[in-house]
Amino acid sequence: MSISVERVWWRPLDREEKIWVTIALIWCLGTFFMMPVWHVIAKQNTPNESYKVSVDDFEKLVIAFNEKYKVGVDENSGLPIVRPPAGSDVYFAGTGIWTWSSILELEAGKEYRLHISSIKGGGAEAWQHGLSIVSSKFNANFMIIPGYDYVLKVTPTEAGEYGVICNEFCGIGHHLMAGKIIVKG
Amino acid sequence: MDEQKALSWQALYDNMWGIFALGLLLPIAIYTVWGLVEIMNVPQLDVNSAMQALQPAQEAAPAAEEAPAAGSAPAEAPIH
Repeated sequence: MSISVERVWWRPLDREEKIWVTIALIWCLGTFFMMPVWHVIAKQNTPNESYKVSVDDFEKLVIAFNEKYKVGVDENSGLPIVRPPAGSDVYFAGTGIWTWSSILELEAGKEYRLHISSIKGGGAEAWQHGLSIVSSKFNANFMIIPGYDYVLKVTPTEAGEYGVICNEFCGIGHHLMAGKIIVKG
Repeated sequence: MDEQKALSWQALYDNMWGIFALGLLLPIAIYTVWGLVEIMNVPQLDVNSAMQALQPAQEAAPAAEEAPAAGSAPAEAPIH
């Protein structure tokens, strides 16, 4: 037994089909061109600067960074509070024991080069994490891949405390990864 | 049945296996191969320079080497 279907799809479109194809095409082109347009007019574009770096090397950088710019310790989390100078390279990581490497204290209106990656931090492995910086006004999300340093140029615009959470399920302690960034006016 | 002969690209679109092959090859070429090329071209971070920038500014200069004791082997030339 065979099923024979008449193939007629190359025949000219009728009116309704032309209308729907036209609407779909306009919609496709509109959303396509919004990508470059949004890239130009928006102020939170994803940067494209990244480097390969071993997990151990990045951990050394994080430790050296924390030691150099540490100004205190957070009572609740026990994490070091680190205040880097404006314009400096900031090394920030998710750890293998499901914490963030520090609580950053930044200055509003100043640009920083935020290097993000994953380190063991005393844990068994450097996990894949997701960096979410959240507030009531915005939400910025970036992937954290072990072995890669992703550089974000960050200019905080308003003073306040911004939550930092992991948005990539990274293991049994994923829910513990709640930190913060403090922006001073 | 329309007697008009289909064009070659129309015939391809009407070929189930042709569409299947296109559906595999195009995403592989556009996403997978492109992504692999991007990953292979990620530069290496200059860890030494980054670490030097993080060294404390007030760090003391390394202590001068002690003079070798009489009769001991000469110190190796410094490596630059």
